[in-house]
Amino acid sequence: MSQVGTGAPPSLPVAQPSTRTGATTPVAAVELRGLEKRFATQVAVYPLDLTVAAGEFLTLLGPSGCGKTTLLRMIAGLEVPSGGRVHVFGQDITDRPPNKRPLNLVFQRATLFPHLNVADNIAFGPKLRRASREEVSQKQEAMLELVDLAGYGSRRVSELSGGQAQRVALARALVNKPRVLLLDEPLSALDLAVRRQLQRKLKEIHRTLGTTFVYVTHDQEEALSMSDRVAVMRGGRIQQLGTPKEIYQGPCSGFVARFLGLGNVLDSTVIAVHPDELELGAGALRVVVERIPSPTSPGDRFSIVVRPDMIELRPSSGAAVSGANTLSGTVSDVRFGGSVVHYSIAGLERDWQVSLPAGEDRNYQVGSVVDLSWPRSAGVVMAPE
Amino acid sequence: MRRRRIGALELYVGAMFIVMFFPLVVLVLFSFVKSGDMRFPITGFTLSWYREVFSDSSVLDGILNSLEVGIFAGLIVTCIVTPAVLLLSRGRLRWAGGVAAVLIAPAALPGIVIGVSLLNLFGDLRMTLSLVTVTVGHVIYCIPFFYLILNARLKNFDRHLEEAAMDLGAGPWQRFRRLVLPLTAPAILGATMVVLALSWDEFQITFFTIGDRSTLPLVIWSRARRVIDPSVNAIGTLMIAGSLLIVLLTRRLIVESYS
Repeated sequence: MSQVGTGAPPSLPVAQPSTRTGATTPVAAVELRGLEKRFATQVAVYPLDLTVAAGEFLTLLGPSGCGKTTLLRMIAGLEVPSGGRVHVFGQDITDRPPNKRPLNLVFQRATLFPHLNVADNIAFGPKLRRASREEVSQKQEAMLELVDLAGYGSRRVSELSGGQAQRVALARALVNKPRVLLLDEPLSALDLAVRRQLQRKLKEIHRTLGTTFVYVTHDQEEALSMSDRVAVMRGGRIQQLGTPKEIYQGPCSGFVARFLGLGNVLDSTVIAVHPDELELGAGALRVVVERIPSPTSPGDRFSIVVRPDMIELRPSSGAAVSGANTLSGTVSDVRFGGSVVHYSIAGLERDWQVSLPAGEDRNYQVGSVVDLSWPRSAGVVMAPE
Repeated sequence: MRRRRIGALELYVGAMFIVMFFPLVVLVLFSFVKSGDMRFPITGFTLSWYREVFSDSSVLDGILNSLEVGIFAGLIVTCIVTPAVLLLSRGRLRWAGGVAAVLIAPAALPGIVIGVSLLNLFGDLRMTLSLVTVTVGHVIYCIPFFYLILNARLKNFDRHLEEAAMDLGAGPWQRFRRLVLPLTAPAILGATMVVLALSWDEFQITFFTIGDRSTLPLVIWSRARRVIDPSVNAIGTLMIAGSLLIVLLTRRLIVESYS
């Protein structure tokens, strides 16, 4: 129901509504209440609440060890939670074994059954449910078609490439018509070209089938480009939950900002509070940002992220730069990224990341001195680290 | 083309094979030799020793008894130990190490000790010694080997496959029936064949627990005790052929199964 592209306005609230409006509230596809996982010496997932709307594509994003896979495996039933409940479409499934849950998981490695060919792998679920022979073969065909592997039914799984194997695994899961499809880094073992291709394929399948997807990845680009909403996780907690746009434009912490590749995170102290803007100092640099709603006073500490795509570069005039949101630096690295050019610039004892659209790039060479400047809307104020 | 040089290692391995297999080669050779005194030079070849062996009812009886004991021992060991291996190879039991140690223990006991203690036990139980008591002895003797072979194979069983099957809706019995059994059947059959091969030439335990019957190794032993006669060579050759056949089949099953 919520097809949020990068440009469309978010159709889902970022925070859960505090009052439920009864009949008009659609049943959530997945609802986690106080779900947690503790091991003997450490906590994998602290108690957390999370609601995934029907038809949504939600991604759990975070570095390895942040608890995202454990969380997914608890939803699948492969990991027993230490506390909390899992609801799927209104049913409490916390105490059901994995084979009795209305959802399917696509694993990181394809885990195809080596003694069965491609078609029989896909038929594994339907045969367990004693589907008729015609039904099984019709489903096999439809699924092979869906994942662009028509004609591959009689192949041995050992003959498949990594991308093909993962597509068969996807078909093997989807043939059971899961109400929620869980995906545990399904593309992370594949090379870039295949990964891109399958990202598009997954997105397409999500659109056609309307199945709810809960996706786990450590790749921020993948998360931002595919999801309706992203939950950024760190140390067993969800740090931020929102649409890709919301998270990219307003990361709530230095960790989230850095994890999204928004490199320019500064520690700063409030110098002055103006009616519509906030003036902060970060070392020798003065930064002006748009006023944040919460009350602040001079001396308060914040982290600021300056978005790399909003910094402008100009050849240095030679004169010393002064004023807020501006500094001089020396280009230390240039990376061509197709439609964007990424610069690393050393200035004021730190490294600045700047991304210019290729059309606006003036081919600054390594070693050249440039002036950086940005509008006050480029700075996002976050809680201090 | 460069010719491959024969180095010290090749010579050593060659020598080792000669020492290992020369007696067997001599045995097989003399089973076809005409003269009865087993000396060089060889005067001529014959199949008469085989004819003699096959016309001797005690040898045929021994072969049949050996097969009977081997097949039953193989089936019983397979049925007892396979479930144990399936359970233990998961490493989820706290006392798995202890159970494994008990299963392997008979391999550390000399066969003669097992034989004598079984003889005492059967005496205390007032059981008549027969092929049944021999089979019991062979089962005890073969359990460790079956366990070790199958466990080595199942250790590599991918747990994620079972999780995937579970996720696709398979309950415990269906996972066993549709996933674990088809994937491990070749290894199980291979381990069963090894039991058959071990039982085929087991002597010590058999000697103490068989009573008035005879398996093939006992037939050879009783003949060799009386007189060294080339017909023993013929029986020996038959035994080697049988063992070799089992080993070759086993190798195919264990090596060429899914990995």
